[in-house]
Amino acid sequence: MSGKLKIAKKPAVHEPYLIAAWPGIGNIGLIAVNYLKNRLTAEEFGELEPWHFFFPRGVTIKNGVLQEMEFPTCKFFYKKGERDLIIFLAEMQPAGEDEIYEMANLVLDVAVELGCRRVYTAGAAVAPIHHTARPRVWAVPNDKGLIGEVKKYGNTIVMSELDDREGRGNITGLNGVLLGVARKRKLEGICFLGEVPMYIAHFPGPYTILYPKASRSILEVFAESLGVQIDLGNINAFANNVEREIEGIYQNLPPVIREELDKLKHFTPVKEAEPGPITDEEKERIIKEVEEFFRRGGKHD
Amino acid sequence: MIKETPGAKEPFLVVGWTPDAGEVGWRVGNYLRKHLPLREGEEIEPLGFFSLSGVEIKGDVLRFPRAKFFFLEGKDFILLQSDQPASKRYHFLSKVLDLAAEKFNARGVYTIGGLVSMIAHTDARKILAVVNGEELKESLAAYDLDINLDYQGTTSMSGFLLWIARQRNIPAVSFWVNVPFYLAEKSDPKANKAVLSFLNRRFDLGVDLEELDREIEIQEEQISRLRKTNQEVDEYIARLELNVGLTQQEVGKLVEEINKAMA
Repeated sequence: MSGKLKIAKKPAVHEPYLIAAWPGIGNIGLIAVNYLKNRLTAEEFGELEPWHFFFPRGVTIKNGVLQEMEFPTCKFFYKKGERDLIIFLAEMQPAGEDEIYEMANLVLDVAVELGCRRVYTAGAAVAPIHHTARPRVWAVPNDKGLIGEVKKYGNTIVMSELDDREGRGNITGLNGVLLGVARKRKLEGICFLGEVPMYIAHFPGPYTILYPKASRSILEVFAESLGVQIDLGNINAFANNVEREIEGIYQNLPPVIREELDKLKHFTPVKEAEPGPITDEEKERIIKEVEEFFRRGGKHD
Repeated sequence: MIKETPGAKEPFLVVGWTPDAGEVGWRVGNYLRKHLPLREGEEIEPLGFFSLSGVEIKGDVLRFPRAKFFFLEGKDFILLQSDQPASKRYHFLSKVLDLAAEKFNARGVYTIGGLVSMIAHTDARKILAVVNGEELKESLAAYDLDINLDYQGTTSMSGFLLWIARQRNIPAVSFWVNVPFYLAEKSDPKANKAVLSFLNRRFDLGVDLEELDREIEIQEEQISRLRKTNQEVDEYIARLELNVGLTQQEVGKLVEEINKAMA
């Protein structure tokens, strides 16, 4: 294996599945997979040396002497069970295409070495839904043979079931590349994308907020796909708190924007459904108005 | 591409980056190249380390990113003038150390940088040193350096280089000279002089610093004239001279006025 990988001990796992996550929109995938890792008490067994991919994010100097250099971590965990699992969590995604491709291959080197046959990634799907709705999970397999399986999962849709998409889309960053490289290396792969309301995805800082409801939806699908029990108590509480926070911001939006956004309560972008009350032009206008509202400091005119 | 190999036996590599506060590291390199018979040496190819999607135009001419070594006959001194790499930084810095340690047989690495500081241009410049091993402090004790820094926070290209050098048991020191914040976008000949005086002594370079003295004089006269015509600027600088800080707004105003006057 590459010198860039540090494996403390090779876990005795049997045909494990790999689940990988990193930061992205709202950290939806990272929160879900990190939660899964914690609930399953998965054990760390190795890491990818981060300095090959990232600039250090901090330094400690004491009495003129360089002490520690802090880097974003990229760690491997494992959990034995009815279905053995390997989990890879990175605190950052590499910036360059070369590094993304290299990291994907290194992660899969470990997976293949441990006998892995299937890979999962997780992230966010920005969708025209309302924050009070239950976010669905868009499932993107890396092989046609898996479509039948993912269609069976509850609260899950594939791209061809989405209005106007004709089965097409785009997955940015490592979520897509890892599955592409997995396919190249003859491993099954599925990406789960939890829906995030488009106006929340566009909340600018300092209003940027997480959306654990989407992470919870992903966890529910993971439970089904992996055949594991996941206690969702903590993420439910987290999601409820965030929902209250969003509701607070929502109620402060100018009535004209809120009325537009309320239309999303009746909108489900699924093929063959009745035409929704919001047009593409309206979607664009809503996003612009929400952004403008926050640019003004979250105040009415 | 290899153009020339160094003649020194166990030299030190001195690195100056751009961009940098006051462009201290780069300007020190330029001054040395102008006043010493430094010979051009090896260059690190930019592909993969710098963005080549567009090439900068600066001072009316095209400026291509570069990382070039220069050698000084008879002295244990190698200069690297380099743009800060934009990607694959670990790989780039490792390449620098590969050349330094394996090809040039360097005993150690020094980096030069400017440290944006809340000081007045009339204040003396201090040099702060950070070492990558406790044992290096002794070798610097004879110089007028501040070598007791305690710091926790973001780091720099020099900091990353020091850390990689330590993994490879290469002694390395980063030197940071104070640059008044309002000269950080311009130049600070006083900071350059402080660094060059140190290098002169450390490597017995014998560089004549007279030209820098003239630059310092000219800059001080420019700012002096501005102080006479702009009460705000005069007040802000006077406060800095008394070691009294400025508000963020005052900092912005002073930078703006100095940049205008020295355009």
